[in-house]
Amino acid sequence: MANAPPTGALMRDVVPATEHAAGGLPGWLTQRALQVLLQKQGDDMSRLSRRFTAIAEALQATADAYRRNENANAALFRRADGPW
Amino acid sequence: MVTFLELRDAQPTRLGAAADEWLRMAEKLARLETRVVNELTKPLRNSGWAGESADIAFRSFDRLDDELELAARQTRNLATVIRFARTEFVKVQEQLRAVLGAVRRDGLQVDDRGAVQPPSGYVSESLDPIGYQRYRQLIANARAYTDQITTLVRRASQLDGDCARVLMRFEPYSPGRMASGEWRDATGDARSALNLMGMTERNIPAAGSAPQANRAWWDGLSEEHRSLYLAAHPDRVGALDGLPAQQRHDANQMAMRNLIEMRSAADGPTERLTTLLDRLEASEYGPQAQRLYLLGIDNRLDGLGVVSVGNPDTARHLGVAVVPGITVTLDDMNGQIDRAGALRQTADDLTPDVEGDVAVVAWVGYDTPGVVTSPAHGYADTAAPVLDRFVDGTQVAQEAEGTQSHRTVVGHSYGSSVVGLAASQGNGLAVHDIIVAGSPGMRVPDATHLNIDPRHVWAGRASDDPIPVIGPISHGPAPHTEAFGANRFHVDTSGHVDYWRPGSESLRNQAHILVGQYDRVTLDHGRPPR
Repeated sequence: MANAPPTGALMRDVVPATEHAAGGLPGWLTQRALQVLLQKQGDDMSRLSRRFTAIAEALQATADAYRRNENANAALFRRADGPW
Repeated sequence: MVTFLELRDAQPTRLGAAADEWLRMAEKLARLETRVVNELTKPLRNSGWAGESADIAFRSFDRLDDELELAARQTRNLATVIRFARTEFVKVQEQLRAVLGAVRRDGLQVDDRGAVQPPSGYVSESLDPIGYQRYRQLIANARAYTDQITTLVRRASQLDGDCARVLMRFEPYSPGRMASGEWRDATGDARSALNLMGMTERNIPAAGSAPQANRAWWDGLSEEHRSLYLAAHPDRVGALDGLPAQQRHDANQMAMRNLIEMRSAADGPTERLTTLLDRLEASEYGPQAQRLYLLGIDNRLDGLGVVSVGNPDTARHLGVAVVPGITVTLDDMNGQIDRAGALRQTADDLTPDVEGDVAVVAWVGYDTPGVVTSPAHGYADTAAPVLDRFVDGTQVAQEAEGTQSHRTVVGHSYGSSVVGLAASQGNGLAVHDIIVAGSPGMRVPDATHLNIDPRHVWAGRASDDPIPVIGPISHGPAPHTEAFGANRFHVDTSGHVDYWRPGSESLRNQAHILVGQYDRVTLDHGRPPR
């Protein structure tokens, strides 16, 4: 998932196409609905994007912590092995 | 309220490109979900990572997976609503343009409110009778055009309001996270969309319809409308025999999530549903050949469930149903899946050239009797036509996939009575082999009444299984007896419920039958097909 697209990219083409469509319906309730929808979906995707980032950071930090612990534990046993 | 000018000057065709982009976004979300499963959840779940942090992480990944799945479906359905709006808005606008064309041809003028002005000047009837007639006609035309324009503007306003209301429903339920009620909200959104388009639940084939009719209805829908029906009425769509297994699975899983949300909201028990859901989801991370497909779910009373281990539409060898016996309910689904899985794996191992060419269905598709009511016939009478339709449905779905499959039905205990009854009625069951184990009787005098060559009827009985001895009092002669005319396969397991013990000869014999290796079945008596 390291190369997962940022979720903002999911809406890259949706935004101009929907804005263009809404612009073709001045005065219509559908125009307003499309604008609100776009804004709320954008918000949803931004939050989703932040979750992806947080998960990626948590995985990276977990891997680092496991590696550090593993090295520290190995060092303990190397020391315990002597010479005495 | 749309005005005349707003309708005249609108550019609704632009909605088409917007709908295309929302659909593309839905496809991207679906691909992202696949990547989350294949590149994140599956490898980590199979890595051996365990402990509290792993548990929390896996739950987080599962929620992410669910959220992407739901977002993909919602976005797809939203695109369908936008496309519908485009079609309808364009239609009204074209009708308006046709009226305006007629106004122009008559040399009349229309004002900014959409009112067509009568011709100016006055023509005397006595001086110019023909001109007067023409003048009178134009006045009438102007009135008629105004009425038509008013009607079209009203129609546009109505459509605009309806479309806007449905579009607003598709707002994210709880932005950035998966909240309880999210699945039910999606179902509500899809129902609104269907209503907007004039499609209702009544269009769905009634319960018990022939699988061919179900499939014809499904195939006649556009992909967009299938997605809407699936989300709007998942329980109804998931129950339709003959539909593709993947789509039945998607529908039933959504229905199950709706049930869990509803019961949670009412503080009701959800354990048997969540246990099954967890198992279904976990199978996504395992081998493809062992993937689970939820083909039926009903949480009422004892509950019903139908789960295929492996894809039944593409399997070359299909164990149509491991029909369970008495007291089995939805609570026992895990055990039934284990049995089906053991039979599937054993059979798949017998055909090592093609991995994953066997699927076996755990069919708890009928209300099973209890211990006291087990001599009763009513349960089997009700279940037999249901089983028959289910089996027909697997055939319809396989044929649609172009799969040539060898189908076998497996009945255990009281389930074998259901199988016997179903096979003996009408044109029988659409299977190539019938296996029964621990049968109390199949409700027929002998194997010739099962609408199948008796050499393809197989019965097994453990030497200490009491049911085939006491059952025939109510359900007819036991099929393991020589007089019945079926092949008796050798059983090396003990008691009434152990016929599917992994590694046993009892199980291996059934697996040989399932894959058509008849000459390798060890028999106590009988004459196997060549």
